[in-house]
Amino acid sequence: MIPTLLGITIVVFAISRMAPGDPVALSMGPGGMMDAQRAADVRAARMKLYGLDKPVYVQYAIWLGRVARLDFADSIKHHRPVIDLIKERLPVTLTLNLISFVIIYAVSIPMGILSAVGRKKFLDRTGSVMLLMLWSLPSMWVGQMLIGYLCGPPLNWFSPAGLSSNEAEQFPFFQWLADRLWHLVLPVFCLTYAGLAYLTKQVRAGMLDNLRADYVRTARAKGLSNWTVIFHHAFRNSVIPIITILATLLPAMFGGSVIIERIFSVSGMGLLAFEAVTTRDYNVVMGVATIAGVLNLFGLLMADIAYAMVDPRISFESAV
Amino acid sequence: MVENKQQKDWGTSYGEMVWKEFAKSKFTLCWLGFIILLFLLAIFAPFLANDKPFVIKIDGQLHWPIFKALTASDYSILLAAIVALVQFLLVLRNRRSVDPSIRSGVLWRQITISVFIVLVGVILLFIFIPRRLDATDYKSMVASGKATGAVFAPVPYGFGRTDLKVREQPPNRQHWLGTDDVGSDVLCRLIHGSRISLSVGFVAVGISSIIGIIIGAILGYSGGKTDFLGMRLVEIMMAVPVFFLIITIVAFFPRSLFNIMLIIGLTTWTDDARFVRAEFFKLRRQDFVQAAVSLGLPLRSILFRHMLPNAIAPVLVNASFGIAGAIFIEAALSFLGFGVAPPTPSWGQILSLGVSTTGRFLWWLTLFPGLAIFFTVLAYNLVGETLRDAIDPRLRESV
Amino acid sequence: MNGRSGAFKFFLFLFLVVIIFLQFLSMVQADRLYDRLNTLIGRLESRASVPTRSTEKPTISATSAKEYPGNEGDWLVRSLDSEPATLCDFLVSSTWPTRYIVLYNIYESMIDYEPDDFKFRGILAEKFSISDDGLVIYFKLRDNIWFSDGHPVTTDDVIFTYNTITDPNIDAASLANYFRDVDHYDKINDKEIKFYMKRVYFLSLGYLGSMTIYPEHIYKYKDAREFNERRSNPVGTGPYVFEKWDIGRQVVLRRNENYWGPKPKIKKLVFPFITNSTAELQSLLSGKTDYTRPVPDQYSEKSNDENFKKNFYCLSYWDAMNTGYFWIGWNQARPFFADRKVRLAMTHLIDREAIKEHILRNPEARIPTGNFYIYGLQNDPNIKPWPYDPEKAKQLLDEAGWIDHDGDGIRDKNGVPFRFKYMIAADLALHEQIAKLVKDAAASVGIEVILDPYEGSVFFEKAHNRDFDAVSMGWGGNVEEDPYQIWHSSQIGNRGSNYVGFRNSEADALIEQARQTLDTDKRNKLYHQFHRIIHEEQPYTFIYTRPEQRFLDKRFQNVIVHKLGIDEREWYVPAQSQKYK
Repeated sequence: MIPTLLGITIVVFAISRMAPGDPVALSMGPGGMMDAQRAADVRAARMKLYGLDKPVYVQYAIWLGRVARLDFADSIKHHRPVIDLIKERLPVTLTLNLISFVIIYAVSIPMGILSAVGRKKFLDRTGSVMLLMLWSLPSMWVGQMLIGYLCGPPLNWFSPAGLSSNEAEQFPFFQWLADRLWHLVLPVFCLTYAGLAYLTKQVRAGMLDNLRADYVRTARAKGLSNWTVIFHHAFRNSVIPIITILATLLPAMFGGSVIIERIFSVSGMGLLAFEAVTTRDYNVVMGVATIAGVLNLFGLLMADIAYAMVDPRISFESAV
Repeated sequence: MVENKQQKDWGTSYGEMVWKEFAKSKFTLCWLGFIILLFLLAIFAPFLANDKPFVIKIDGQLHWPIFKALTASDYSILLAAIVALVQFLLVLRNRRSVDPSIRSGVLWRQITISVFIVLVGVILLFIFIPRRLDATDYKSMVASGKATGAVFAPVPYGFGRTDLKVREQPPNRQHWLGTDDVGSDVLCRLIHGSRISLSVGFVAVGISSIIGIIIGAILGYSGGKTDFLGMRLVEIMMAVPVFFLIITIVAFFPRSLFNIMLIIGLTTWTDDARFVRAEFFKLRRQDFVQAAVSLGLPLRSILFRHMLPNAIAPVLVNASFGIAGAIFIEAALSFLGFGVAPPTPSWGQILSLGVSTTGRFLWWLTLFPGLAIFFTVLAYNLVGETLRDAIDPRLRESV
Repeated sequence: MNGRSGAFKFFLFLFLVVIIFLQFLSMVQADRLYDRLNTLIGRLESRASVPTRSTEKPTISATSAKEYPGNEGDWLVRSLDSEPATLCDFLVSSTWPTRYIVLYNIYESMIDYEPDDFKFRGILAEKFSISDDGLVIYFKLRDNIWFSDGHPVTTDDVIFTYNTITDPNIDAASLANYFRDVDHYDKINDKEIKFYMKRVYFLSLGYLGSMTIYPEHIYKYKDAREFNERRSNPVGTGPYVFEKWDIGRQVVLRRNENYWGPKPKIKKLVFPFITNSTAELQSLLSGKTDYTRPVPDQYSEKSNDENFKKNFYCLSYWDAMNTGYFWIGWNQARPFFADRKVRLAMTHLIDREAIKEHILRNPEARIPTGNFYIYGLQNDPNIKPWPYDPEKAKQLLDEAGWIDHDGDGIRDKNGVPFRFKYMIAADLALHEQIAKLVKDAAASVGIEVILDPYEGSVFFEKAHNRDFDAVSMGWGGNVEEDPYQIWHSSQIGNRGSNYVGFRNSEADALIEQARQTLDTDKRNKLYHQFHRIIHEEQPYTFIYTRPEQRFLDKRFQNVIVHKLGIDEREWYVPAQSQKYK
């Protein structure tokens, strides 16, 4: 796991450094009031200040050394420790993503099972197509339409931006919570519907596969109740692809949330990383990449553990 | 007579079987038709939406402005379309008159020749067709009477022409789908934008499939240490946040459509690689592979002539979803401002203008490109899904 | 088997629930932690600002404003579109939100411009002068001025400020640039100081006099890093003191009850950060903020909305100290733009009135003819902008030798087709719209323009390296400025700001001479000549310059638009309409 993490950091570091432009050029802007020699001196001084004048591999080694001590340095643009920025933004992104997660899993598993079990041909087909339609909706379109129609003048049901109203910090806890949740509805919806459709289809496909198998017929023939057959036999065998998806859904959500965060003006990790990349804020980019990499690997690890718990064959094989 | 008997003996090939299963769903066939319609739209875009007329009479002389102004890329697209059509007809002819045992070899040869013709043709076209600029205002010439007998395209606007006086207008009689922030006609930009979306889909998926197949084949066949190391690399590729990688790489190069296609292709090959690797693992132990190895055939031949045709099914299915995904990514990039350079039209870019800074919702700039993206992506997803069902042997009814 | 799968699912579900709950708790905790931290700092601050000297009423001398009219009370909530990185306005990382918050509110300078005249008046300084030979600058501070903690202001503070700015270890290089010409200073006594300059420069008095004075007893440092890293808790002489900075949310200032001058009537200034412009407008409409800087489209839409104008002022005023202009630069090192006729043709090609009317939607914007502030004295008001005339453009291009020899619709000369790359900053809608317009206009005369968008840091790099054919950018401006950095031939290349490579010996001579001319009238005559050269040579095509626009809640009174801008400290809210206590 550590080598993979190292590999991620090297790739991100290399690419971000190879890209043209640097944070000093951006912050110095067009210049204008400084004469040529002065501007060159100032630039050289600032590059030195941020350690950007050293060769690339040396910079990487320095960065690695700092990270080993859990010191992610300061953001060049915000002049604050990267850790602080991440600490502010990560909870927001995590909240959005975890809520979506829970909703996706809580809704799509029963829906998938139901649609696999209730086998009227027509409903089956339309259901499948509806899910595919849901999956094909571009999130930026949905987000914009929702803002345009639900947040604008006639209806005004939701607020178009931010996660809290302006005076939110003055609210008592439960009112604050309610206000937060109300602001979260639209962004969470945009994040959720695609994953929902995808997972429902997966569950359905898995269930269909298993329901046709011989052992299910045997179970039914034995006289077991429908409930037992579906849950204790068919479903448990189709859990593995669902767990695999758990591992891939988490990183996908991080990437996808840039657009949602941009549309709804939520300051989360997605926007942080996006701004960092466009302003060449190297320290933040590396910090975010590391965190994202760690979370991804964490997701993979969770999936592995879940595999071992669910499928006894796996642990047997490794014992042998 | 003899040929007919031969046909009956040939039975149904794999491709025919898949097609029969696929064609069972009339619904999906409609969507396939939609895709073909989209292709036609993209191929004939300069004839459908153009501010120059087909033919116009100036001072008694006939001029053909649209044809004179066709660019090398327009001609390339036409060439590719013609070659693809010819290839399709050849496939049909193969079914009727070529023996199945040699059919796949013949098919591969035909495909290779077609691709070769297209590539060479495109290169020659780009070298020899000069870049022309024709900004004559034909409409005002007709209006002022200087020219007569002009036949304009159905949507008589150019996608780069600005008209500040009609900025941000909702759909009306002059502009059927409204105008954008500099007065360009939205319908025209949608039609030309289809070229971007479709080509991004195909080229990006083509690149990612090729890379994925090669890597997956090597890893799946070698196993052991090579596989272990290779899988670490693939894992790294999967764990790196792809979107940010794309944004960073976009900064390297000048904004061009091809660069974006290349970048999307270079960052999305991991799925294909995993599928191919899994299939190759299974195939590796099969007899025919062992036989080929023991015959001493070169590795290249074993991998790509013997094993690959059996492993290609999941790649094809994934390709369809991949095209949908590539269209999504391109739209997202254009939406964020990292897509093709203006004024090249892209559906995502029009979408990004949908909500103005005043909070005014410019619904026509949101609805129409959104619908375009939605329907296109839906079509590819449906086709992919039906294709997957068609290939899956368990769902097939007995022949 | 049964138990295991059931247990697993239950475990997973519980795990997720716990994580979500922990998330909420941590968010709440973070909010509360910052609140606690800020109130703590606030309490410390208020303890520090108990005056150690007697609070006599300060004498209001003749040059300072009279007592402000109106009722006391209420807050002014002004939304900013980005959070400042620091509240110390010396540091390189300070941006315009920084200056907006602290300048004239927390910190003050020795001199400032009169609100209605292009002359200086003393703020902290009672007397100021520059010698006839321009080499000695003299300041005398007022008696009875002190910092918000009661400490009197002396020349030691002025010296400390100057030394800090020019200390090479302090991250203030761009500011220090303005003091390069200072040779040494001479402290005469606690209130008087003289600066000796190395050479004559007409802006020296302004530069030195507009240093914001920092209190030495609070800011003194042993290690420069102490100063560089001090981002918050600014302390100065101004009418407001710092109360708190909720990171990520807002900065709050409250009135300095100990202020040496006439106290403003508004008791608190609140600056929330709202990055999304639509959200900013909504905030204003819903009453959460009082004062915003709208995006031009918002202004043009709302200023025609009668309902809106019932409740809000639509202010449009020329801020003489900050008005810049937007321009397209033609790189004279490229074959296309070396010839003046071509550059002039490009200017004739672009319909700037249409841009003003349809893209800016601002009838008060002006088309500049030169680089100076359009209503300032350096600008020659008799020079009119070149008209939009595509026929003239075609004629000029023909004369310059750019003719379509090969019939492909694109002009060419010596085998080089007139096809160039126009570099713009990506993600800036206005730049893109103007660029598309230019492309379309150029096509109609046979010039092919390729738009080349780049993101911020790459854009500036390429500009500095002169790696472009044409570029569009904006420069900021001031009441009076020195064209040297941008227009002198010595500033071409090596990261100088003369990006287009403008080289004109007559202009060079004028610039050099004017820099040393202290007589305002003589100097401005020289600048008028310079202005004419720029107008004839068209190294840039000047696109627009426009006034500042603001929306303000109508409950504020005494909102006066002066010749040089507006002064928020004059405002008050009548007692019956006050909103905040």
